[in-house]
Amino acid sequence: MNLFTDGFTEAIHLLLEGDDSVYSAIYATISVSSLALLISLIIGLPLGFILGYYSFRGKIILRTMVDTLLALPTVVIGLILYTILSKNGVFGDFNLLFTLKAIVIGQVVLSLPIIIALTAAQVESVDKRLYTSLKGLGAKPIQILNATLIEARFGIMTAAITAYGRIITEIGISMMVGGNIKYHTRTVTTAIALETGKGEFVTGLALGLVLFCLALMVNIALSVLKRKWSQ
Amino acid sequence: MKILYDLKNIKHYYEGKKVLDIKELILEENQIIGFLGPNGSGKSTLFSLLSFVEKASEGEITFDGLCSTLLSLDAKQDIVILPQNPYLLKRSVFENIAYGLKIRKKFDNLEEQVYKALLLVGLDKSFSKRKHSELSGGEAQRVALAARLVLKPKVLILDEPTAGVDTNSAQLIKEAILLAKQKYNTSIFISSHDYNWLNHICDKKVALFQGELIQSESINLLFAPWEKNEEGNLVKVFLDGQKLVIPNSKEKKRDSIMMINSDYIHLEKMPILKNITEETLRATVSSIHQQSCQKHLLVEFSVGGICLNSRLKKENIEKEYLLPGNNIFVKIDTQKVQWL
Repeated sequence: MNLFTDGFTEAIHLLLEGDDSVYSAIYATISVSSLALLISLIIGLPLGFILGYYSFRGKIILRTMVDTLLALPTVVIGLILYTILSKNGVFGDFNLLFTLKAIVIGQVVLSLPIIIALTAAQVESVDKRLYTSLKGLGAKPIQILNATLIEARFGIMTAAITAYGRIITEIGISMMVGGNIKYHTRTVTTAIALETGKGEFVTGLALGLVLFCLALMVNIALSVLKRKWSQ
Repeated sequence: MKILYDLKNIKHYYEGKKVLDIKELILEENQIIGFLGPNGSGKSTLFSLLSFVEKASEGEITFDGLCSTLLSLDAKQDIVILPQNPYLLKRSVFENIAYGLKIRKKFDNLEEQVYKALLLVGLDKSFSKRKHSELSGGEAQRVALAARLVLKPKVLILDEPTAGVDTNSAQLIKEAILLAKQKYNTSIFISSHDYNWLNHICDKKVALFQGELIQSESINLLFAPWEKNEEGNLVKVFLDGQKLVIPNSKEKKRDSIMMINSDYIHLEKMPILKNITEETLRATVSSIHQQSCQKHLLVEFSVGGICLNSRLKKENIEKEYLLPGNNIFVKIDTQKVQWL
């Protein structure tokens, strides 16, 4: 029990003290995960709409593949990216390994299937009369996409929260392609792993609480937004 | 009159099952055309094709002289459909009505246009602030119609617009449709089970049965109510008291629709008295139209307020002196009737 109370006290202490390394990790975590989510939404929403809305050959196979990718371990993504981004890899010349950009790429790979699969499920579950009504009003495909996403906004928001929750808490990608470099690519999760490895359980737990608070703030913000939209 | 739609060899399938098979159908502009037929006859499917919501599995649709494959999305926006059970967006009434205008980038006097459309369907300006979830079934249907009328479309397709709504809403919807025709010169295609209403407002009727067009030009439909005579056969009682007995119709219900091809209706100026039977009716010629087939003319006449027509050769019309305003005798070949 002492571990938790000490961890909580330490977390508040670290935050109030303005520890540079902690704030740097928090900043890296928020910026990287938010950018990854934004990119995933931009790519994933139209793809999820196409997957859910249109009927085409190979749709079931594609859907199964996307669903399978949901279970892809982060270390596997990290490993694959490591081989691609390392000096001898296909994109080795871009010097992306051990940068925040590499973590963003990895997290996009991680969250994209979540956004696509959950958006497709939402689009499929939308009342079919919506499409007939929109088409009947003369809406063009892009306008149908917009209107459908707005109609399914609560479900899509859930998809975004799920994806954000997954990427903000991942460690495999950040560790393998980020390298856990202090003040540079160290995120909250890699910091926790490091502190725990050093035997600094209280600091690790304090960082864990910080991560929890971050997730809580995101959820509260989205919940407020959801209530506002439903009015 | 200008041809609006020309359908040729249209076939449509759902999961391999043929639901529509139309060899040819021509629809002219600025008309109210009624589409009749029992449930599952293909009316909604045909409407989906006419509104380009769906693409026909086979065949060619020409709209306004252009093949559907050449039609731009903007041109297709001239056609709007109010489907059966329309969907309202999870937004306010105002946003629902303004949606069509917004996607067409018509932002001028948006509020005024929305309020005018609401008035057309008998709803107050204050209704615009309501949420979609705060409307009754009839109100939702009227809002959906207002969302179409505000677009002042070239073609308005209405799939059973009064089904499942209260009497007041149904009346307001009917009035709004006629007003749209008058104000915007919109071509209107309606399907409805309110056959009396269709009979009164339609310039032309198209009947479908099991996905096939029964007749598009020279058909006559006699709607309910029917009475039963002592033998149990259906009897149509016209407003002027004339009666038409349909033999062998004992099994038919009183709400049936009788269909008879114009070729099986014979007209005479003065029949030989001995030829006057139960099937002979007195009528007044109202108009004569040129048919696509040059040899024949379509003679429209009124029996007790109900308009019917017969297809006759020009020489027969001249011989019988069948001019508009003339009283005539009509003999319907009741052995040739079909039931919908």
